[in-house]
Amino acid sequence: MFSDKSIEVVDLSDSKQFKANYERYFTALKHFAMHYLGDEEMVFDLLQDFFLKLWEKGESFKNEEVFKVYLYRGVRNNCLTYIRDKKRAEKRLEDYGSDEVEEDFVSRVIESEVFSLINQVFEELPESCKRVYRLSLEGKSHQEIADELHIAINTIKRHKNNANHYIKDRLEKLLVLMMLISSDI
Amino acid sequence: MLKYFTFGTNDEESQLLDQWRRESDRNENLFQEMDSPDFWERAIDPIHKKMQEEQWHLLQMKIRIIKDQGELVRDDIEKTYKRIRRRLYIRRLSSVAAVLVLLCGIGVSVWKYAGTWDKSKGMEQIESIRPGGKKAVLYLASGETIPLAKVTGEIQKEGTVIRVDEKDGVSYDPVTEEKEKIVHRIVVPRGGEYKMELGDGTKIWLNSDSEISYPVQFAEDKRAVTLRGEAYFEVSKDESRPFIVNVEQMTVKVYGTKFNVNSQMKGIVETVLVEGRVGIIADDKEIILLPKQKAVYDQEKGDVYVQNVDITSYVAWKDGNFVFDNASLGAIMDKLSLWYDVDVFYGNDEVRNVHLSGDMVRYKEIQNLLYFFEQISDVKFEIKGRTIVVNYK
Repeated sequence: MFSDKSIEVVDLSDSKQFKANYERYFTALKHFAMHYLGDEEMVFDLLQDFFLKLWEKGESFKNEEVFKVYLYRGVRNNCLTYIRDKKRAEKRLEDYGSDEVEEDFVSRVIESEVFSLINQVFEELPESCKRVYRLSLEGKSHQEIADELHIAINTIKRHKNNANHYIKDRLEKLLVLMMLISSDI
Repeated sequence: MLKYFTFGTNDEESQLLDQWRRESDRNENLFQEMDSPDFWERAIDPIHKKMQEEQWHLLQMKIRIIKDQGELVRDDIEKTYKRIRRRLYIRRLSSVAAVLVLLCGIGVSVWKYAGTWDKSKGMEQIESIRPGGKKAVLYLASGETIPLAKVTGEIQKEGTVIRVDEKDGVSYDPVTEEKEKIVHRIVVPRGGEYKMELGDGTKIWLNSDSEISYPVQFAEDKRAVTLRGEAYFEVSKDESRPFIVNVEQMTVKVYGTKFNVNSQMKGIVETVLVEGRVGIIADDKEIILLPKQKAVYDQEKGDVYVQNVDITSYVAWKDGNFVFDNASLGAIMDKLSLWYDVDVFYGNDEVRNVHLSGDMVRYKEIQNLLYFFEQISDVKFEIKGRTIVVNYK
């Protein structure tokens, strides 16, 4: 019922698909672009422009993989263009883009996709699980969490178990995903 | 963490991972980075979703403008927009107000856009099952009906002033003159919820498939309403007039307080007290309920059973949440069927007794909750049209 089957055709002229893809890739692309630009405001501006153009063109893509590569390359190119323009304007000597190796690009894509996937899977958890888990990652003990959230320690264990179980099930295909990404790009 | 979550006990994949890591320094470094708790902490930060939603709204606004004004304006807007923004040093333009101020400077009438933003919570529909929303119909004493979800503003009917507000629902101005007993009724269908306020200041939240009748002006010695279904009450204090809820064959007598009454399960009325004091009156007997207690009235047996409970799961719906605390799947599906207006079919009757816990904002798609339950138990769900089929895996 909830398959991760890739859509055969990605059609950006379809407003529903456009929105779905925006939601699906935004976090990853933002994380990805931050590697190049480092400034959140600039990244948001860039992504706004990028998606606006995507919307205007309304292109279709043969499959999800082709679309994914298009997105990441497109954002990267926009980032490099921006940096070059900025450099020209400011006449600095630093060089961000020209010695970038293809492998770097792939690593960054993988990292962004994993980052975004963890975020997405985590968002699917019920609120109480999320709260407990976040506090737990901060390093708080079960007792501290119990005191802070006013719930029983058993409940905390239950939430953590449920969360772990759920995240594990959702991420178990992660390695396959990572390999797939590297082979497509 | 990464390894724990992704490769568990699968040896084959574990070897593949190690192989990948050994392939290059870059792979190893990447693995280390993604394995760190810091990476995970940043990844699960709730701010990502918020940013994405804000940016989406911004994008939508620009798209609407382009659609209306044509492409030629687009570059102008982008340039002016950036220029003005830098000048005003506004960091992140996500609030409606800020953007409206800027765009007004370009001479585009934007006010209409604020109202038409797509405020749908939750993801796109896969099937046609939608989560519930504000739906209710008001029946006046004359029989005239007012569809509450579709009107807003002030209505003067039958000698009283009724206000309908998008956020706070229906509210009545207190009536001071003597009036003949005028009774109004609000009906909330399956898949609906509604909030209202009576003339005495009492607030009532109605859940799906529920209705409440009440006089526009209360009697001198008591304030009586009749309920079918489920409602959460915050009764305003009035020592001279106890508040009374008639439900099925019993009565809840209220002394100024917050409580939840649920008569959606057949033959049973469940009353849960949050604050204050209520009396459960059935078969000429009154039992006083204390805060954090639940009274279950069994119509058949004619008795009332009281127990101490964690009230969260009983009243969470009023704030838009589902909270299930070790509840049976049968009870859970009953609640979901009312809110999502779906039918449930059990492939195996025993599956109703599977106990689950979980909580979720109830404006999300039903798939979210069902998917979660599938992961933490032996149950599986299939959605066929408007029916959910439940089975063991």
